[in-house]
This record gives sequence, C-alpha cells and structure tokens, in this order.
Amino acid sequence: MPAGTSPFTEIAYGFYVLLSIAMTIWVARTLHKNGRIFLVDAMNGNERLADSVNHLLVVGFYLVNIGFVALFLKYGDKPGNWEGAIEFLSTKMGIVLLVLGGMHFANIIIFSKARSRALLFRVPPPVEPEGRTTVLT
Amino acid sequence: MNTLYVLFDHSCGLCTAAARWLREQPAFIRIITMPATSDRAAAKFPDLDLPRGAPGTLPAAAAPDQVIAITDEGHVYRGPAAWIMCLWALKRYRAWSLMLAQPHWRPRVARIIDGLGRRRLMLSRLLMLEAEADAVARGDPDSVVCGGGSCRTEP
Repeated sequence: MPAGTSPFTEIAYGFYVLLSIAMTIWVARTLHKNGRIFLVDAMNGNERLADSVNHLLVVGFYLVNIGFVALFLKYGDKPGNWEGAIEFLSTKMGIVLLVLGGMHFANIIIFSKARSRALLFRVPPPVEPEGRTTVLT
Repeated sequence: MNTLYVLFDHSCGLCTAAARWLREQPAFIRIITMPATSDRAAAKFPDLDLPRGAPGTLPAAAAPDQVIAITDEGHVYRGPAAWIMCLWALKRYRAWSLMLAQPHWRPRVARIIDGLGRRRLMLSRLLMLEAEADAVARGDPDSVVCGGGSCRTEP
C-alpha cells in the first residue's frame, strides 16, 4: 500500500458504489412497476405506448442517478479510521438518497401530470346548453 | 364536438379583444369567432334570430348583450355559460371552467359576466380598445381577415 493512503478510503468507496447502485436499481424498479398504471391511463389505455414511455423514463432515471453517483465519488474528507469511514459512507449515502428521492418525486409528478392532462381531455362540458339550434354548413 | 362557434359584439372593443384572445389560445377543439350581427352568423344559425346588418352599420344596441356559444351539434349557450364553454375549449383553462361551473362559483361568474356585458362599451372606451367594426371601417389590414366573416383557431 503506498504511503499516505489508508485502506479505509477504498473500502468506503467500494461500499458507496455498491450501495448507491443497489438503491438506484431498487428505486428504478419500483418506479417502473408502479408507474405503469398511471402511464396507461395517461395514454388513454394505449399499453404499448405506456410501456415504451415507462421504459424510456427508467433509462433516463438510471443514467442521471448513476452519473451523479460516479461524479460525486471523489467529494468529501477521506477517512483515516473506521469511524471516519462510516461517517464518510453515511454522509455520501445520505446525499445520494436525497437526490434519488428528488428524482423519484419528479418522476411521480411527471406521471400524475400526464394523467391529469389526459383526464382533462376527456371531461365533458361542465354547463348545460339552454337550447338547440340548427347549424348549417 | 369538434367546433365551438362564438358570436360576439364586434362593435365593442372589449369583446373584440376577448375574441382575439380566445383565438390565440391553444384549444382542444376548433374555435370560430364571428360577429353576432354578421350575415355569416345569420346564415350559419338561421333559427337563432340574430339581429342582422353589415359590419359596423348596426347600432351597438342591436347586438345581443351576451356572448353566444354554439357547438357544431347545435347546443346553444349564452352569457356566463358561453364563457365557461369558451374556457372549457381551451387547453390552459379547462380546469378553470370545471371550477367556475360549480354551484359555489357559478352565481359569482354570472354576476361578473352580466356586469361586464352591460358596461362593455364604457369599459372599451376606458381601456381604449378598438372594436373590430371600427377597425374594418378604418380599413385596418389586420382586421380584414376577421372582419364580417370569421376567424378560427385550429386545435
């Protein structure tokens, strides 16, 4: 081992990458599984289109999150002992989880907006006509 | 329903501005605005008993006090209901139309719309809004597209 580095950094990095990617996969799968029904409704029952949009959204979710996890790896004080390693890991995981949570909520907002737009499209006029007339073309 | 026809008083600047606004909004269905006193409107809706006359030749009082909205299926809406139908046709305001049609808001909307309808000429003067009839009479090239005929918004 070269002078000036400790094994703690490498171990903390290893756990960080493993845990972050595991969390990303878990959130993405949850989103994929439970978001589908929203999208089917938003696409007026077109299941193939909904599945396609769902898949594309999940791919985007993976790209953004894994990208963030990779970029964020080097930030923070390098740990010098076990205590430091646990703190390092917990701080980094906390931030990654918050970013994941933010992305997750953003996705839910996208799903529900798409759905409410679709619902609005199908709403009949809210007022009764007062009569009928002939419309010539 | 694919089209909503909106008949407005084109001797009133406020109504002209409102009709122009309506045409510019993104809509779910096609919106066609026509001056209520135009030959075109009378020909399109023969049973509606609209006052007739060439654009700008009728006194303001001849135009109906209220906006009339007619669907291509022949359903007629007047005044506040016509306004709610216009909002319903617009992508950005459909949610508003649903809210304003509720029993809590409906009488308030009716009061405001009736008040605006009665004071429309005074308000037009105050806001210095030019009526379409005057713009046509002046020969404004922008008004010719809509003047006497109709303007439409494609959904």
